[in-house]
This record gives sequence, C-alpha cells and structure tokens, in this order.
Amino acid sequence: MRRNWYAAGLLLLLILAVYSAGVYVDRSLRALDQELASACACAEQGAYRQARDTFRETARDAQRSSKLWLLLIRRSLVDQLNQTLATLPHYATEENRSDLAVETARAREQARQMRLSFFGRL
Amino acid sequence: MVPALFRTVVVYVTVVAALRLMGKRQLGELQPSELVTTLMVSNVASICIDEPDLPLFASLSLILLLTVLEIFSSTLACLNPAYARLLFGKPITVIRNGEIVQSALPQLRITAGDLLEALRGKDIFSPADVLWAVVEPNGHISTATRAGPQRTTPMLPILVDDTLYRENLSALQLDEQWLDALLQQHSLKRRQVLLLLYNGEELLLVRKKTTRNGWSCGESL
Repeated sequence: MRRNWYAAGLLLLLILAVYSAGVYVDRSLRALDQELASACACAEQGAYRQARDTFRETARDAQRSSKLWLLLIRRSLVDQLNQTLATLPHYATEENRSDLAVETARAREQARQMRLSFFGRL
Repeated sequence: MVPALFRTVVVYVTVVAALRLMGKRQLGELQPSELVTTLMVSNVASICIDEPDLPLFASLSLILLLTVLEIFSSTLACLNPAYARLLFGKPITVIRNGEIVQSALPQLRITAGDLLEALRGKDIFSPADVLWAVVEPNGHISTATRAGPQRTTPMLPILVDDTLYRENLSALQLDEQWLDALLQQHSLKRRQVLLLLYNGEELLLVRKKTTRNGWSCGESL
C-alpha cells in the first residue's frame, strides 16, 4: 500500500515538474522572440548600436537559459540557436541589413522549433 | 565525456530506484506486463546514456512514468481479479491424471517435446507420473506428481481469487453445485473466497479478509 502512495507522490511530482518545465520553456522562448523582434526593429530604424546591445543581451540570456533548456530540449536545437544568436550582433550594421533580417528570421524559427520539440503540436 | 559519465550515474541511480520501487516482483519471475515494463525501462535508460542529444529530464520522466504505471497496474490487478486475468493470463493445464491435454499444446504453441523437456527439468521422466501440470502465465511449468505409497494426494486449486478451475473440479469428479453447497456451509459466496484447495480428502479454504485500509488478505478457516 505504501508503494502506491510513493507512486502517487511521484506522479504528482512528475506532473508538477513537467508543468513547471513547460511554463519555463514557454516564457523563456517567448521573451527571446520578443527581444529578437525589438532588436530587429531597432536595426530597421537605424539604431544599430542599440540593436547590437539588444542582440548581445539576448545571446547572454539564451546562454543562461541553456543550462535548463539542455535538460528539457534536444541539445542540437539549443546549440543551433546559440550559434545563430552569437552571429547576430555582428550583422547589426548599415551594410548588412538584409543579412541581419535573414539571420534574425533564422533565430526566431530555431526558437520556434525548440518550442515544438518540447510541446509538440500543442 | 563528462556529461556522459554524469548521465550514466543519474540514469543508473534512477533505474535502480525505479526497480526498487516496483518491488521484488520485478526481480523474480516476470509476468508479461512486468517484462514489457522492464524492457521499456532498460531501453529508455540505454538510449538516454547513448544519445547525449536527448534531454535528460525527458528520459528520466519516461522511466519514472513507466514505474508509476507498473505500480498502479499491479495494484489494480490485486484489487480486480478480472483485470488480473486480462493482464497476466491464466494458468493452462497440460497434464491431467498422467495424460497430456493435447488441445492445450497448440493453444500454448508448445510441442510435446517441449513439454517433456520441461518435465525432465523437474526430474520427471514420464507424464504418467504427473497428476496435474500447468503452464503458468510466466511460462514456467508447475507439476503435482501422483501420490506415492507414503505421500498424500496433492491439493488442487478449485477457486482462486474469483477464478474457478472447472477442470480440477471434474478431475475430482465434482461439480459447481458441490462447490456452492460447500461455500454455503461456510456462509460464503464465491467472491469472498481467496483460495480453495481440495484433494478429495483435505480441504483448504481461505476467506478474503478486509483490513482497515480496505485491502484483502487471506484468513484460513
């Protein structure tokens, strides 16, 4: 009988852990997407220094979040996103505007794929 | 390298804890559903160690979920005999009074040679020496040999946890009316019986007992 209580406790813990993980993945990826969108908007308005800073801050945030993401999402997807984010500040210049738009779209798509990896088609 | 070592230690600890939680049943003779759970847990664990790309949390969650399902399923099987029969199956008689029940062999997909081999493994060299032999749901064969000059006749199960062994009743030249009359003498209904064994002379009747926690256990009459 005691084993059933342990199992019920374990199931409850598992549900809580999966729920918390889901909330964390959702919030962190949503925040990342918003930061990328706002950095891209800055670059489009010609505020390249501010865009560079925002891209760097986004990359740092993603690095920090990666510690938990790696427990929840496939490593290859996290690595791809971090690699793309690392290149973004270098594209935030007048002459690289189209490349910046392409790379930002790539990063946002990679974040979307990470979301899909955790939630599926939910 | 270091993450792989870490993952191995974590997976090892989790699988040991999971098997410990599932209990001794998982370590001895496995029933079909228990075998499936054990195979799945070991498979998930090995994939988790082999594939560093896979998130650790996902693999551990699957192992723990399988553990929880196995515990709940075996508890439900204890509480509900019909579910237990569905999950574990029922023993099938293969020898009765020294004669092989031939209709049971294709049902079990075993040959007479396989049966004789299993009997030899129990130091029995002729089916004629066997009073009753059954193939258990876990694939093992259990035998009751014929009574020798100084041995008593083995007890045969008649009613076990809601399961009526009609073939044993017929072997003892009894019928369900006899069983119901016997239970009536003890003011019992079939579903109140945990175990009823009989050999034509001796009777072992164990009544289901409900404890404070609502669990059933045997009480010998």
